[in-house]
Amino acid sequence: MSEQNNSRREFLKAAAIGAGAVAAPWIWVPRRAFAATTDFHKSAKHILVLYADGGMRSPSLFNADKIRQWNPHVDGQGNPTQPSAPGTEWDLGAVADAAPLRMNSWDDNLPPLPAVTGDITVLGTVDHEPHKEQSDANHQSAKLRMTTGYPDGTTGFLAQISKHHGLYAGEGRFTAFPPVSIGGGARIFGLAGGDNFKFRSLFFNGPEDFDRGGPRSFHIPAPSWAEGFAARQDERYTARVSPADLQRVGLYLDSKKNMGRFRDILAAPMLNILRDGNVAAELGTNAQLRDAFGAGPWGPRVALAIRMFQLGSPAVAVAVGGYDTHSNEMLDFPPLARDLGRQLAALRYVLPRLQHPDGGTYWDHTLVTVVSEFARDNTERSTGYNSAQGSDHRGLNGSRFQAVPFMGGPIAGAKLYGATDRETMAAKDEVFASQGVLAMLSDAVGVDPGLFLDEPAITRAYGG
Amino acid sequence: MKTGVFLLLATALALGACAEDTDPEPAPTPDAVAEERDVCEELQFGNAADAAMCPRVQRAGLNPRYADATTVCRRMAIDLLGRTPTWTEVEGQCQGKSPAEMVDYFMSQPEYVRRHQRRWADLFQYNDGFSHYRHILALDELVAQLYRGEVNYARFGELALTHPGYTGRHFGEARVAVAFRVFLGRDAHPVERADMVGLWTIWQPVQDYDADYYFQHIDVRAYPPICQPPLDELLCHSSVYGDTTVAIPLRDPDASSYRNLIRPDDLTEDEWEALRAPGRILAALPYYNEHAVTEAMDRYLGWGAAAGLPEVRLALLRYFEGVDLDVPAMERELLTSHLYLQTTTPPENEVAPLTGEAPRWRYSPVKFMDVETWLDSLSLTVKRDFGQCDHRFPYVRNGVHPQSGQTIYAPHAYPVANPETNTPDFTYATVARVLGGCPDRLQQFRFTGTGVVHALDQESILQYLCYLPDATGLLPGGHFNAPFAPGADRETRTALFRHQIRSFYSREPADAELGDFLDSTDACLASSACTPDQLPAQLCVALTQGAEFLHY
Repeated sequence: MSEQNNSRREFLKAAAIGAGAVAAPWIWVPRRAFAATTDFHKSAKHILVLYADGGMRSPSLFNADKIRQWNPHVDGQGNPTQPSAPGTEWDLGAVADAAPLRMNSWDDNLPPLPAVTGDITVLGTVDHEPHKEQSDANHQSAKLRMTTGYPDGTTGFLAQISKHHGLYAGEGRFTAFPPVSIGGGARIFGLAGGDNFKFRSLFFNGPEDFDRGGPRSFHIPAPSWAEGFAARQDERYTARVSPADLQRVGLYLDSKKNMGRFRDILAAPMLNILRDGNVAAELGTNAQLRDAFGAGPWGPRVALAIRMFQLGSPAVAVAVGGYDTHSNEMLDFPPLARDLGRQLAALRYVLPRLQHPDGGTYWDHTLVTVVSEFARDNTERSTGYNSAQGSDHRGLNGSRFQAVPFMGGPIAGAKLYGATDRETMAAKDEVFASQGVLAMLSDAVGVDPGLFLDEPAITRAYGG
Repeated sequence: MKTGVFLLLATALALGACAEDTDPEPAPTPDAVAEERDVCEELQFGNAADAAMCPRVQRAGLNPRYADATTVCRRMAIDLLGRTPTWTEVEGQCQGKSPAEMVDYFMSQPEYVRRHQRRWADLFQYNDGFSHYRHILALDELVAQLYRGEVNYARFGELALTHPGYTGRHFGEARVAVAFRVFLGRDAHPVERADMVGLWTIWQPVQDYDADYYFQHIDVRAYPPICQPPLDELLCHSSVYGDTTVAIPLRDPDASSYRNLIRPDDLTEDEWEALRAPGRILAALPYYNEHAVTEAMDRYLGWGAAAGLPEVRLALLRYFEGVDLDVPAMERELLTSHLYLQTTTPPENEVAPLTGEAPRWRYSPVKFMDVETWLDSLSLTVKRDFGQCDHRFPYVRNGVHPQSGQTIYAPHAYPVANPETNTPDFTYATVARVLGGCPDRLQQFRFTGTGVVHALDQESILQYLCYLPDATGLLPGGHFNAPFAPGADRETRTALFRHQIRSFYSREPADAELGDFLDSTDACLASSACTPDQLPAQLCVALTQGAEFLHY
């Protein structure tokens, strides 16, 4: 795929088609692999997608050795990158924190992101539309591409997991913990239109939903007369319903039946991360999670995601906004980037210390990635910003190529696949379709991506 | 307690007793077909859909199977108004009334227009983070005109697709894709997207400063220099459905002049006429009108009726075109057809050969309330107003007044938390969003969900509402009549039960369920496990959590 596109792109350059000219029309034939699953099928039991909502300037963190036009986030000496773990092929941005953080509850220091880059592999050229001269730069359609696989998708990635994962077959539909979206921007991962409505993911704003109790906190046990009467009333109603309609009505009734179990789960102290409840040590205390992940925009939500894994969810998407830095990026981006970097460092620290019920640790069984709608461009060569001290997204090289990191037990780490030119941000070799990232995540957790996607899974990210 | 029987103008009932046919249907002979056609032509149907269904009904020797008045009343109220009917409406506007009279009543209510405005807000994906709120207001009013019958469907498409409320919300090929999805029911083919995007190129986003509300926003302007030769053929032209270039003359010969950045309000009628080409192109496509009919059939009839009953779809399309694409008239025709009015109970002993079950068109589907219908119905019945969602503005624009330093909000329809600053109260919206309503159409789209946690959220909300101390709607007599005192005697409990069944289910209680309630509460009261004053709230929860409340 990538070689074919690259040769076409080179051909067009050679033909000297000017800017704005219509490119020679291509017919893009998605490559559906003969075998939709890969050797890495079921390589993970949990996937965590960190979604930087708005279009994150990801090369500034994960593919950072670029001229100022593409990475203005430099250190005091003007360096766009900083030293990282030995053997790391990709360039960590200077914007990331380099100092270890003290964690009293662990009685230890949290190694910063530069120390763990050897466990992270980066795809430097993730592109929504590799076949087009300009890629999708529209927030809505690009977001849908990243979350559903298609610019007008109606079923989100998490809903597809809910629909196809073996955990949810039969009674599992009501007993297994569903996929979860955390943070408003992550809702879209759980989109479930039309007949797929029953596969919608669970949604939480964040740990605050459990701190105040939220809408589920109000519960008055029904008296026995009412319980019995209500059940018989439902029987009388369903006796009048057609077999065709009974499926939908039955789904509601089955949901009611299983409410009690989930009510208990959602009241568990381990979910009230903002407070020190009675949590078994082997799960990691709430204080420990707060210490590791911090109290920034990401921290509490990522900590909650860990809890969702511990409850059995196979897939969680966490979103934090603020990355659409059309202006004032010099001030707005670094704290967000540092907080995001801290999450990767904290995941590398915490997950190996949590035992998994199936043996090994959560690190062994979890795959983590960071994605966004696109990266950013339309910046001055000398400053790296637009006229408003920010950056835009026009679908050209700077914004079309996201630098997407992967980490976790199945990932070999340290590798960079898909290099970009330091001066122009043009792809130097491989280009990866963003849909292929979703395919990889799906395949990793055991769901055949061929069921809902056209692109094959990108196995290069596993490295090795 | 017995409800009236429906009669239609159509004389299908005159066909005689139902002759149920359980054998596989033999192919009709030419004489039989001719006879059926003659019979159907002889019968003077007052409804296009009923006339189209005659061959299916006649051939099987079947009669239409109508739901009772209260069932249809509830169905119409939810479909047309987005809430359950009050018992006053059931008695006054439904019982003893013809379907046409019922439909006319419901369609005359302002909630009918608002329901559709909400639907189109989802279709167009209003979001005042993109479009200026004034443009959203104007586009929303255009939708109202459509459902008041003041503008026909072709003109609506022509106006809507170049309305700044639309062009400011969608950019690039999304303008084509959304237009196709909304008006033709399919995504635009990549060739259509790439070709027709030029029809909207002239609309460019511009950062603007709104002096009234002191905030920056992105607006959309017509920018004619971008569509001047030689770029017009490249950037502002479409050829896939006829050669069309969308361009208007420069206001100033200097292309860079600000006079050439034209606010929508400043465009002349001739300029608008030129700019509205994309809507006219779409409205002229063969499937444009038909999609409106298809969509209405699927929405009101359910079960994929439009695909399953092509003869009805065609008949309604002809009707729609015959009434000059008047959408309310088309909906009325559909809603007064026996397909909409029929019972949800499948007929016994009628079996379709392929499925082994009753033919799908012989009974209406059971539908599921959407979130805002659910909340509004509860609010109405409990007699506690807890607000609403403003379908036009998921979040409300605000800015800082330069003199006072206060944050001031743009106009909206949310409850107001602070009249001085017009601060919206998002309590209702927050609850609705948890359950899939009141979407922001950017990170969340409307869904009608179910599932364990969804049911848990609903239970909490129901319990909260039913146990409100001032939930006077739970008691017979309500707020304005003599107060009702819950009592332990059967007569009082029967009155309570009848009131809540009427309120929540829009029907009279059946003997079996009344008996069950009385027997169950007899035991509870006798054991002192409950007291009479607890019964209204407990019954409220039991009934509103029941499948019958959520489904219709």
